[in-house]
Amino acid sequence: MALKHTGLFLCIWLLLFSLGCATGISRQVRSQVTYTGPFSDVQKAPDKYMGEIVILGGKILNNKASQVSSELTVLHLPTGSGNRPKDNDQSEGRYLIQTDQFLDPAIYKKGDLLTVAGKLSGSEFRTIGGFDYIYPKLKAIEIKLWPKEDHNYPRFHIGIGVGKTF
Amino acid sequence: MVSGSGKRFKHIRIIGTVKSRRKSGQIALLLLLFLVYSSLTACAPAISKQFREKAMPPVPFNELLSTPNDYEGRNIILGGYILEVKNKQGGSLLTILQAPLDFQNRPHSRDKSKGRFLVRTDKFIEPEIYKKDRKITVGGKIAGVSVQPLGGHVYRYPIIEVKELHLWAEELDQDLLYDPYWDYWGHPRYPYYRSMPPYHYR
Repeated sequence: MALKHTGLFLCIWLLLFSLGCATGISRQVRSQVTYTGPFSDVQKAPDKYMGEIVILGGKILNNKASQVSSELTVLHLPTGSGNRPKDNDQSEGRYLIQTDQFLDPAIYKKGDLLTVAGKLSGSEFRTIGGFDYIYPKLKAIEIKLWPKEDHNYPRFHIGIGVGKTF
Repeated sequence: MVSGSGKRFKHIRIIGTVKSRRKSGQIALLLLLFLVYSSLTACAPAISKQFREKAMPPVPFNELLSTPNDYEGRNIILGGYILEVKNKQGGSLLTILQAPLDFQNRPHSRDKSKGRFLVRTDKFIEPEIYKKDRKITVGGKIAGVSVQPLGGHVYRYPIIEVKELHLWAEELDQDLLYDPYWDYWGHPRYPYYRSMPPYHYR
């Protein structure tokens, strides 16, 4: 009896585990990461972190695409399991993603969530309103665009079960 | 004893017929912990105790609006809905539509607004997060008036210099969040979801 239940739990656990680990960035690129500290430090002094390879989450604010290159303005967001960004208020700033590929603005559009692996390549001052903002710049290695979720509330409940429901 | 607890937790009596009584005791304990936790998180006020004491006695907002200069230098707690965020050289300026605050200092009832005020900070306020119509509570010092035209009128905005700022999590659309699981508990969805940490929902 007890053994039977253990097997069942193991199956469920494995299933959840494999779902939870669906990751945005390939293993090969993940192994190249050199900096995993807070993004706020990078945003304050981007030039200090030049050349570091990072994985960041974020929300697209703007997409400037041309035939030969694209530039995304991204609002940083913390990442959860599988490097998926969490769309909450815990942003630590903004950054730019630059790539010599064409990122279609109809696909990479404002409000979409993404995870990027890239190499920090300096910074650029731009104004937001009248505020001079330092944008860290990132040369993209890999970008994962996340599908929009219909509902953003937790779909797994911690069950305090009523016998009838099972 | 048993019937007494059955009255208090109606749903547990149902379980009692299915599972053993010991099990229902454990469930009751879990539920109790959950209730305590949710009531604790719901009661956290947005502004620190220290500042709340400094802001006593409270300055009424309508008096501040009519004679702002009389209250210059006083501490105040105000809240409302963001109308505009302006980023400037070395700081940001927020225009807020005032609204009455509840016991948690959370603004409510936009229609009961008595006017507008400005919030000034030397920090960068991210306009992509501090979006229009989001709820905000601010603790700060009254720092004068800014006279600006507003639709043909001349409006005197009291200026608040920020000490503490709290942005409220966006409220979830209850209809979209309908979840049959919770209906077993006799509709407790409303207070729980409201007290939950920020889920971003659009």
